[in-house]
Amino acid sequence: MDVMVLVGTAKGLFRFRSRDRKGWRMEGPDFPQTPCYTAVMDPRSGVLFAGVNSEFYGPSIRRSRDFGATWDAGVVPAYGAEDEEQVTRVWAIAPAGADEPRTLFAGVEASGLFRSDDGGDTWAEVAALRRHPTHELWGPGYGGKCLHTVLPTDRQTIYTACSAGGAYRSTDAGESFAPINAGVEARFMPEGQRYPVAGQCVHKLSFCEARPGRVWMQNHGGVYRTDDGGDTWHDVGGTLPGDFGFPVLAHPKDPDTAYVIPLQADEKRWAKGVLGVWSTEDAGASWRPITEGLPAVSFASVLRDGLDHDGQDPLGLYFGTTSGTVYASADGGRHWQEIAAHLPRIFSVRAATMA
Amino acid sequence: MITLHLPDDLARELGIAPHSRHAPRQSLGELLEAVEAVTPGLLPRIMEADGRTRRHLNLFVGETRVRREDARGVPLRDGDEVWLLRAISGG
Repeated sequence: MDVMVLVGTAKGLFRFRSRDRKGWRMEGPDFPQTPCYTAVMDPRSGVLFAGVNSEFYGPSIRRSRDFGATWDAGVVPAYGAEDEEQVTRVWAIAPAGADEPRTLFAGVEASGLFRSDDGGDTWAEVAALRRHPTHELWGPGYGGKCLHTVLPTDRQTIYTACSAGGAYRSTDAGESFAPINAGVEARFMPEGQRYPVAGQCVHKLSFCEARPGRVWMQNHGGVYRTDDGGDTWHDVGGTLPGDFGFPVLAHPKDPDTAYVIPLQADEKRWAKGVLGVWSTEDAGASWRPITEGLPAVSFASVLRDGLDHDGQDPLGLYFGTTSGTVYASADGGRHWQEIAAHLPRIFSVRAATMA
Repeated sequence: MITLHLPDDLARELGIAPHSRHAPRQSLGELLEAVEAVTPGLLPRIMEADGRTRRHLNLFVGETRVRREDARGVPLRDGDEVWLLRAISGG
């Protein structure tokens, strides 16, 4: 089966396909000269969705039913005319589970959540999230005031994360949300105020399919793990060379394995030495670099959606850098190869197996 | 008739002709709503939810550049040419 890697960049969407995960063929770019913050293949249907953020025509959620050969005009998500906020970018698109085959979610800037129950024909805001009283604590991170992570883990449970705003969870299918940030530090706040109920600059969440309730978090400083769906978080980044970074990725089958790409620090957003993936196989107690085949020195970084796996066995891992290089590993990170270079700044990398 | 000129990339995205002629309308808002009715997705790409023209687009009616705050109400006359252009501020 072919693997498709969707690479969203500052100047459009690039698609890479491979049968053996060694030789790769590039297709695209789609939406040339237009920032594409996210693109996913819906595993239930094979339909591609892309979050396309035109500086001219605004944000849109686009669909392709032929693996990217053609795209529809899509939908422009918007808040109401009287709303104090506007939808300026689409950051995340997340298909729901197989038992809701027509349902998808989208995270947008200014931070908010949209839902479609008709396969993406129409989208409506899940209003309860922005109505939460802690909404007033939300502000923009450097990338904008964005809801970048949506994890619908079952019919009732939805995790979201926004920067800066923190992580939230719904256990009633989006009727209500509650912040789940206990124990997560906000280092940019004054002393004595660094553990607020909300307002943290969460960079990414990744849900552990192999152990429901376990979620990994890369924070704006700090790597965390929860085993109880976000009620309590444990700082597990202490042995990393730096606990600042953007992506975090749970292994699809092994609940104790996860991946991060550590950067030196907030004020030095590049790796200490090799820019590469670090993995844990003991739930965060220890981490080791998996960097064979990666360049010795790099001043690039990897943004929050720049790391993904393809779900295959052995696991294929992929990441893309701000300097436009895509690296792939077909053996769980033991060896890496460059599959593309000199692309525009990479916002997102998503891998999918084509049925 | 009123002639509407759209940027090529927008017309291509929506699958319509970049230059089109339309029955006379009283205002720019009426014209764009009429086009939206047959080409869903045009209006939200031109205007924000609050009705302002998107920041990096310029609308002209003939030689007059339309203020983004009150584009919808701009009166039109038979024979007008409406231009939608990408502003250089957008990149």
